[in-house]
Amino acid sequence: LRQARRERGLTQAALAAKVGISPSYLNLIEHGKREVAGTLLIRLAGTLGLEIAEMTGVETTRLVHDLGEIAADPLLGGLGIGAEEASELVGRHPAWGRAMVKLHRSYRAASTLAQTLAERLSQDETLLQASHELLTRMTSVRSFAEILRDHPDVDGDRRARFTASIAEESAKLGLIAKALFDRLSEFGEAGPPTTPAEEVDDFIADRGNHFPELEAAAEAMAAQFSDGRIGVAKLVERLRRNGVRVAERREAGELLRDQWFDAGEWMFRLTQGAAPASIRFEMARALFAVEQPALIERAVAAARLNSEEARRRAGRALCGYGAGALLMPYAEFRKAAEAYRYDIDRLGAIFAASFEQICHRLVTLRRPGDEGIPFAFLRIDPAGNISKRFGLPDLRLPRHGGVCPLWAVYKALEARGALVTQRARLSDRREFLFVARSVCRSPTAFGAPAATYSIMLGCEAAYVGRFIYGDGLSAAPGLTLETGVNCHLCPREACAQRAFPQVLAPT
Amino acid sequence: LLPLVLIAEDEPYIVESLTFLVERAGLAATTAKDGELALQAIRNLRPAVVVLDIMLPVVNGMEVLRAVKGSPDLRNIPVLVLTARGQENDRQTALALGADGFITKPFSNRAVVEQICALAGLVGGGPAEGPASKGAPT
Repeated sequence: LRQARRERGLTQAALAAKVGISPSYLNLIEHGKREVAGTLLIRLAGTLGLEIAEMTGVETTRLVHDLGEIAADPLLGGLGIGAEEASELVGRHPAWGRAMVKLHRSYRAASTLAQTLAERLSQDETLLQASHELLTRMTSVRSFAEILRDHPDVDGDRRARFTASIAEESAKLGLIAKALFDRLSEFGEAGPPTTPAEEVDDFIADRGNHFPELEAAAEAMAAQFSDGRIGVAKLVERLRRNGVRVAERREAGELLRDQWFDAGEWMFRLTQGAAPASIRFEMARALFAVEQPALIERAVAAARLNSEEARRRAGRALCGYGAGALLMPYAEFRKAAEAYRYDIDRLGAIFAASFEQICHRLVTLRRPGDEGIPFAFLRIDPAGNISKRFGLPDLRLPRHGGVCPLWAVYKALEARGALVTQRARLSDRREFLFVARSVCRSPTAFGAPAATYSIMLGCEAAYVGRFIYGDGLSAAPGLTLETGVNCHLCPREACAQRAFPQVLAPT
Repeated sequence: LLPLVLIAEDEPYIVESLTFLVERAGLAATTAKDGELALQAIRNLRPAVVVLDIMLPVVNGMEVLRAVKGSPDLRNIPVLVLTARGQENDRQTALALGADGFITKPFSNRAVVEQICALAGLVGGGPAEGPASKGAPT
């Protein structure tokens, strides 16, 4: 009441006069010392232009109550928060009150989830059984091994029996360890909820980054084009034949990535000033959406995605896959890739595609029996946010947080458009070749922001002969980057760039 | 007569290695593969030391320990409890029930032999000179 009165520039005396009560009575009401109801309530509401519900404060009462509960949370003990101030906070800053309640709820939900998972882990019968088995086998292996070491006089028969037992128990150890890991990875799968973007990344990774049905559809679509490169003019014509309006967009400002094609309006908006490769790619993506809706729908339906947003993103990603397959046909692209040893710039010139589009297409060359080099792919922005990641079986990229700051993908941001290549040896002794470059989407008008990303491909060092970026990268110890995937998983204590301690410290 | 160590353990390989170690330390060994047999052996043989696994079939090790330490007749027999690593609850329960020593798997032979000998009243890893005294549990 006081807040509303002040906002309207009224003194207590003025408002009291308007509703026909004494200023001192109004003062008591404002300090919560008198209840207000009935006709006075209606008069006050009318005078201040408030809803009765706002005045009776059903929501306010609930908020004050909720904040009182929060104040009692042991987590906040010692901060000197009194439940008494809650009504004042809600009165003055209701949005802050709601924010605190919301935060506290999500904090509780997150703690509960963490607790549930921890309990499930600690009470999981399979895990308990496997751990017990593991320790039992290890005990006998260790004990026999120590006997053989410490008692050289053990007779031949016994010695042979002990040795055989060690071999037998070790074999069982292997099976138990596998069962343990399998069970743990099941936990990972049923783990905490993921974001829609992560769900889509997982879906694409689960499919091995290759969609034969989309490849086939793209090949069939490409066959309907006249010979020669599928350029913008041909794409415009084909979109129009499908009834899509292609309109040039003259307003300044960047178009969001998924605003090119409006499926509702059946319109493609062509942004002036956008890079030709982007225009062509987005047109191909739109064409795929227009001509292959059933195929996309089936693929998305078959994926286990939990939200509408994830399904929308997956549909968009699959149309992008189709666009890549249409503009860079599998057989031709793969042949060129091998011929030019995966020279990304050369492939870009041949297929009139951007660095990122080529890298993306290279990752999809997984047709059984006709595979290209298996690649990991990373895209980061200058703040280090990872917006796209595809790992390899031996180069798993963590879901949360960044990767090692020494990797080429970060160095490429400093190199401003120059290629950065690297040979890296991970803590498990596996070696990888990295190539990265930062790319900048130029602003389309004054004041429009530019967007910078760094894009990296990585493959096992074993492919050095087929991969041009391995040329000149020495395998000599001092010239190979010693690294881990990130600080948590990296045992190199002495690293100057270390940001966090290692989680699994050696025991 | 050599002091007798009862090995109550259901894993044959662990039984075999412990038996070897006990004998090499100059003690005699006998075994029981479940909790019921272990209790019978303790009552009948009055071993110098019991090495007791917690996860025993039929009657589990904790119950065996409770029975031994609850019996005025048997409570002076030292019991060395064996358990899988990381089960801190087991350790606390066993000590509360009166266990005389505690070893986690996978153990080192030296540690387990040292504990057995100490509880049997022998010093170090070999047979002591003279008759072994059955000292009260510490």
